[in-house]
Amino acid sequence: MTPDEVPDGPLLVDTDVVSYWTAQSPVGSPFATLAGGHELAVSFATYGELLANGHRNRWGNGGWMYFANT
Amino acid sequence: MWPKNWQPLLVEGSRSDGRPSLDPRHLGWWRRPGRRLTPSRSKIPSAAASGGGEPGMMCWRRYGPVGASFLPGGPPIWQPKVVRVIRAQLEGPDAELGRIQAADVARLILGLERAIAQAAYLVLGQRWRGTGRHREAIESAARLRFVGIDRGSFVELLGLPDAAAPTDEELPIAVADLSSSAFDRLLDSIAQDGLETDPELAAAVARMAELGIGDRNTSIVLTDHVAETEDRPTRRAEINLRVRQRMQELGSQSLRSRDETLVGVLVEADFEGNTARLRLADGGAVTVNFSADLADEIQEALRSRAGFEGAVRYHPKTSQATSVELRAVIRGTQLVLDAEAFWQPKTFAGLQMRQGTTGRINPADMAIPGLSDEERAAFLAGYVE
Repeated sequence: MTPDEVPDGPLLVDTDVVSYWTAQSPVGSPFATLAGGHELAVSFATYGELLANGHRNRWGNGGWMYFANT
Repeated sequence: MWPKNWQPLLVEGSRSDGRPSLDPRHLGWWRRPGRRLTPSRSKIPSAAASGGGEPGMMCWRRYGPVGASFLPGGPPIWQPKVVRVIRAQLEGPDAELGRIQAADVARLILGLERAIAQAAYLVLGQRWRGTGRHREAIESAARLRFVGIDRGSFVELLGLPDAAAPTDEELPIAVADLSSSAFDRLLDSIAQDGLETDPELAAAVARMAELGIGDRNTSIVLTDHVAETEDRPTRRAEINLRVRQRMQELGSQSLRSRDETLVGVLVEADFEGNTARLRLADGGAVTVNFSADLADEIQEALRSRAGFEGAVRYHPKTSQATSVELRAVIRGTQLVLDAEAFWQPKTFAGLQMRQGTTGRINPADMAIPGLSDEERAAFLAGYVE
């Protein structure tokens, strides 16, 4: 898929892609290219999954505060 | 009403001669003797529908449950049904028919069921016993069927549950597979000499050995009732006096302590004695023993709900948690949700305005600062799979 093939309008970004971006994984780069220029949103379910993953991995306060404030 | 040469029969289960036993949940039709379907089992006239599966396994076919597609006179629908048969052999001077204590026969079966149930919990990766969403399936997986008695010392042939064992629960594997895997796990635990055996499973094996192993009986030998082939050697495990003692030692640990996370409210703390009192949801009180380096976390967790991870000690009689040697405090994040507002439809622009964002986000700016390589790998592990 190329950026031109991405439909216009806002994009709902799923948990795995957000995780790639927040954890700076190279796997997330192609998705960043496709999402360029779009308004981005996540669902409340994705927000919960990110918190759950952080909880499971026992993040320190830094990681929690990041998601709480982002 | 009935198809010619067929008899009405309530079908489920199996007896040692291959005949299905009765169960009101299923209704099917069973061919009369002499109209066999599988020549290999023709010597069992009443089980014309049964067929030879793998050696040592019992296989028969049955009709499905009564329903719109299973009306009398309708086309027969056969389903193969395979049961894994296992041998439980009690060895000793009195372990033969006519001399063995009748109670020992029952104890052997019940003990084996308990051990398979404990092993099934391990197969499912569950740490709590006797509770949890898979309890019904665990019970089904451990429900053995008495198939018969073999020659030798006292040998019971027992059938593991088949795939049709009823359960309302969603399982990652079928009940029959769970049962079979649990039996394999049990054999592994008995056969290995190390200390890796789960304490709960060890306690169950030790209890099974209370049949007087090392005293009036010599051993219990568990085997697959399957003929050995090049691809599939017969599996065998023996519970003798040495194994009994090892299992007793391992099993006693389950009564002493277990690694768990207790969830509750910390109601008071003594920072001189490094102890605190945790109130559990069921009202029980647990003493929390913590090291000085966890004092700050204890203070922050006071009067709030949190998880307390460590070695939990249990009362030997009531099995209630009594104390925990704390290793870590796990505090959750309380999400604030306006339940009423949640159901109000909002536009994308409205949501953006409320959250003070434009939605124009550069993914590169989303990186969590200060994330170590280890934390990053752990965070992504679930998605890489």
